[in-house]
Amino acid sequence: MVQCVDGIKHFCVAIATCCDAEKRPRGLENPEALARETVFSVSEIEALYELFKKISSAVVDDGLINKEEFQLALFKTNKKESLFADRMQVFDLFDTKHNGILDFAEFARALSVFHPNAPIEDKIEFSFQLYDLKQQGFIERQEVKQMVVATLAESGMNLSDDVIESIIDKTFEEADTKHDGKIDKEEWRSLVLRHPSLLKNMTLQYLKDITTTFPSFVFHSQVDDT
Amino acid sequence: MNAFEMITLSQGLNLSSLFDRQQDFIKRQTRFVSRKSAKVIISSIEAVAGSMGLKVHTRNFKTRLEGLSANKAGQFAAVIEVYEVAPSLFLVDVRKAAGDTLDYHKFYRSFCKKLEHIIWKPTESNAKHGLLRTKSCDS
Repeated sequence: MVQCVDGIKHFCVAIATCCDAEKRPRGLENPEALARETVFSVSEIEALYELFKKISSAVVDDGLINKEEFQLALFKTNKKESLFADRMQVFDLFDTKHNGILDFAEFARALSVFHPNAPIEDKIEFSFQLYDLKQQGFIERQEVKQMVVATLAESGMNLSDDVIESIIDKTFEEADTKHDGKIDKEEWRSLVLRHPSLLKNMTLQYLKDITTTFPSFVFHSQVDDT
Repeated sequence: MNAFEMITLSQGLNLSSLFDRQQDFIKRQTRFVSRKSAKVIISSIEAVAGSMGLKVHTRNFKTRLEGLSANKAGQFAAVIEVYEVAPSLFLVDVRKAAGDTLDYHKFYRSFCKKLEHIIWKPTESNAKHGLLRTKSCDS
């Protein structure tokens, strides 16, 4: 079999000698399957793959995103700018195989949750997991406090402990309807359904335009965009 | 202000920067604190934005500023939200909504300069109150 060379992206034309699988860039074996598992269309998956390649080649060009590359992509620096960079909660949630690296499938499936068209239940689930720092199945006061402090620290702000405690008191008063000092998934769900803006960081409008931001060069003679 | 509202302001939990084409670390969000009333904060923001030639739309405590980019080649937009953190302590979050990030930073610097009268800067005495220790208009 004739292997299509690297210039595949630019020169691939539907000619008999190149079989279907080899038309696609390394790592993107089955965009249709990924499209079925996510809210992305096939062309969106291909565009997402361009973004993935950019991020995954930053430090080690191995077709995988490691923590350093993820941090670089998010913060554009490998200096630890915030608690979130340190704890890499987001990375860990993307890393469903728990092997410390992200392959394209993990990347695409996680980002699918952030698509404007993704079901809100997925966003509620993801955000809950994100805030449940210790992964105990509930969000504790201490975890909320840590995140508030980290957020303020990003802008070099330190509110006094009293002020922070009173903010958290008010939050738990509203959210903790079972009065057990923790926010469980049900309580989280009803809180965000009352305050949808709490999920605003769970939607990336950019994902809707991704085919224009990251045009893919893979030629498909037939793209099924259902 | 709900603690989770504050947390959603965090850059660490905001994946939009994955799509930034610039390779330098440029903060996409900026904040300052004010002890003026919310009404004064918003009207000052609107006045300054107007004087900078930007269109202003305010609804509730959210203001959108729109205009042309510095080189007139593209759109520029910023969104400002005012949050009450504690009685007479407001957090003003300013973020880029459209346009070039560098343009946004130029805008933010002159925007802040004009708003010095409402931005709360910690001094020795109020730092001792322990209310807030912060850099002023951070950028």
